[in-house]
Amino acid sequence: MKRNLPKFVLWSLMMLMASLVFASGGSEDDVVLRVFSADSFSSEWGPGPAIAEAFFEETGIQVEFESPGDTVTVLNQLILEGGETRADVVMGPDNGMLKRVLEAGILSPYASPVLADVPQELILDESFHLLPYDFGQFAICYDSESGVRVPTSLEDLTSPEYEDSLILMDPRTSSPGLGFLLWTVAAYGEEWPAYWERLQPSILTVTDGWSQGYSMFTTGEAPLVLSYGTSPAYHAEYEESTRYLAAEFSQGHMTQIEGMGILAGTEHREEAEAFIDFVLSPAAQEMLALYNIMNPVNSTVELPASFDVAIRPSILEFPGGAPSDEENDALIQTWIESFAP
Amino acid sequence: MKRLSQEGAPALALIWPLLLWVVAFLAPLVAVAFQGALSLGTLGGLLSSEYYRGVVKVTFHQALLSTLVSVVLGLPGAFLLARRRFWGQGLLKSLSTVPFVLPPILAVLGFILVFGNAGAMNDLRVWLLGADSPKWRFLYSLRGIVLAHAFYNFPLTLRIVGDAWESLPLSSTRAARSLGASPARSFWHADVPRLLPALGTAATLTFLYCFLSFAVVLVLGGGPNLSTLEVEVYRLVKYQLDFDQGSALALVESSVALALLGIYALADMKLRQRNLDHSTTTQKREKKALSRWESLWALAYALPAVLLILAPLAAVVINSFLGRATRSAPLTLTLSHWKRVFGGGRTAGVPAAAALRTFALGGLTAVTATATATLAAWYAYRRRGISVKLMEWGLGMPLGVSSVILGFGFLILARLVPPSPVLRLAALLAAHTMAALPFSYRLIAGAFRGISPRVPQAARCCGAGPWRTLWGIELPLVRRSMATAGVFSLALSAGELNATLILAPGNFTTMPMAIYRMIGAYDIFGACALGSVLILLCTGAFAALDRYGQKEHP
Repeated sequence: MKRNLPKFVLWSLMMLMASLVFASGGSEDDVVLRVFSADSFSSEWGPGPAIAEAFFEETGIQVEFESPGDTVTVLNQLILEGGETRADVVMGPDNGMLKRVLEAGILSPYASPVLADVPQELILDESFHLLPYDFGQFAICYDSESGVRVPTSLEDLTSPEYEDSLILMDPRTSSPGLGFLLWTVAAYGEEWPAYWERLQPSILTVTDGWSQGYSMFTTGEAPLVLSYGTSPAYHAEYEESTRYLAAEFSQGHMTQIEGMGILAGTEHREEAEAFIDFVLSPAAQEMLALYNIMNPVNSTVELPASFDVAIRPSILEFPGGAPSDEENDALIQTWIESFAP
Repeated sequence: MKRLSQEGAPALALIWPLLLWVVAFLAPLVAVAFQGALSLGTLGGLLSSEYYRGVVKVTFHQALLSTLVSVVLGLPGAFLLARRRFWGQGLLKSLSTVPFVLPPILAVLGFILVFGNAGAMNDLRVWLLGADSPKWRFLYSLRGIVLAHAFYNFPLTLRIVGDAWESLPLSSTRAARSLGASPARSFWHADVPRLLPALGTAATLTFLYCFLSFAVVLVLGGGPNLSTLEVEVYRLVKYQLDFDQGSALALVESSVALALLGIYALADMKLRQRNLDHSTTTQKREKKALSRWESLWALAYALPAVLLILAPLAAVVINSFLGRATRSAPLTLTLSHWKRVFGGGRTAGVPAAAALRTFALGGLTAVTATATATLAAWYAYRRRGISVKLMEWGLGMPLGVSSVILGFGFLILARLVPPSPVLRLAALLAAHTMAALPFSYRLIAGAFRGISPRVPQAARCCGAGPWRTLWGIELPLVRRSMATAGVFSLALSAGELNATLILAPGNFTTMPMAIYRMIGAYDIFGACALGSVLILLCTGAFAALDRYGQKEHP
């Protein structure tokens, strides 16, 4: 018995672990609306849970999120699954991915009546397959305590005083990274590779994603980072700090409009439409501002006070609309080669 | 009948590892293969492009350098842990494995907090040499990549070679010394050949890890001119959905990895055959206390090594306690981040539940991976020939396959798994076990090979069946390696992010997921607090496993 005791303890510990792991599911009988979204949206720290709860209180419809990764992963999964998907609604594909979404033919259009409250310039898809729910402008954020001079334009960033000061993201692996690349293409036209050559001394590093870059910025590794015009609102809202601010550039800013849509094969069309209407309604739009730190698209919404520190610069359109995947890849290839030593 | 069970038992033991391999490794690869038509033309096209040749060159270059530095840094540490006794030994050993667990995003952040342009080392420079002295640039170049890879991987050498060093039998050195060999000669001729297989294992695993590295290379390399094949696979498969070119490139990666594993297996077999130990004594050498002269060089080694490993971890912990009340207020110590993470509010209870899940899943992974690896290693030990070689290759393969490709396979297969949480979690456990298996197998198989074949022969003569010999005699002899395998399996599972995101059911948030999500929601310091908990819990779990492995068997 004495020798068996440790073994007994080990076994019961294992059983306990097993039951803990397997005990976290719920029942599957209720009718639920399946929303596929990026992990950042459905996360406990994102806007998803709050919106789902409010939606349930208003309509009695349950929402279940599924998030296998970032928006690109979600979209890939939906494209791979085609008609067999269990998803009813997708949230997250932005104006940069619009062509891919439309080509895949996975969404069915819905002209929500609430779109009447959305400014025309934010309607990212005239055919209403992908409906906007929030937007943000890519911007260079700066640490006002570092003593860095606030840059005023893309060209200003190439100034020698910014040597090793700027953290960017890789357009191969990150959507802000691609957004910034397109921004420079929109601003400089054919001359954009030359701009990047001038910019290189200012770049400290190019990170794989926004999270890594922004965390390096807030821990003081560099005074400038590629982020969003709304980023200062987070620090104002949750840290009561105006240390981190966004620089407004003269030539206008590239804009990311995040969209949602109803899957063509859904069996819960009515509930899906109700959900879309709800996300566009002022109640949910306020949550998006607070928990996603993006601008709401509904113009009747009063912005939280913390958004006073956010910038709302003019929108710079990409000439001829967002490029296709192939065009993006060609740009990215030229971009990498501009770095060759 | 008796004969049949003697012969059949090892084959029976192989069923489970084989099943797991097919479900959790082969199936996702096949699923990806169905998405694209792999042709030699595509492959030739890729390799004739100057751009991709450059990427291949960078990938090799950084992996070789990183492996060299990791191994050289790890060796003195392995000696100190294995042959000397000093205060804090166990803690150091446990802590050294923690970088394996931290999600890359936090590990890289900790690294930058110490070695970055505005990091602690540069604060030290300002304090020593004044603010006008030129900046110390450790990162954002090839040097940065190599340093960070050493930070991640030198525990592999420390532990694997250290374990081998610790289990060197007393008999060999006694024999050498009694024949009149000096300590140095006895070390060179009796010990070094026995350490070489472990060194080969550590170096191979380190190389493969660095070869397939992703975020570290991008962030600390400083720009896209230093990027690896894995980044290109990611770009092709994920952003272009170009499975033809993506898998062609992944195939280049895998061929290199498999060729290396093949060479390694051959060398390993040769080395170990030479070392086969027929003595039945398991008596180990005593660990000595450090002599005065040794203390000096141990300190000279340990200070930078400890700085490399512990300072980034410490930086993460310290950051979770730092706050600046208002703009331009002085930096102060605060508990506010901890209160925000573990207090009430929207996310109340989430971090605690995440910690519980991470460790439950990690514990289960450690048990299944170690058990699976033990069964496979037992088969290899009892059988000879082509089937063993095939199995070893197969079990090494997950190390050489792009995680982007494997993740995509999971994504395709995930829809075949019914949405039942139990099935989802079983799939997740299988994926984690598979990721840990190459490590666990190498460790345990190495230990099995150190047992003389006379041991099972003797047991058989005494009438013990194969299972009883395994349970009663062979397992106790490989226990130390099983414990180390458990440590690495727990570490790999507790730090795993991609497969978890894809396979876990909706509400199954683990700690790496929570950390990643908090940083994604701007809460970097809260993520540091959660990271600190992960560091603390893992150190404890590793220490417990190490103690279990160290215990003398009856």
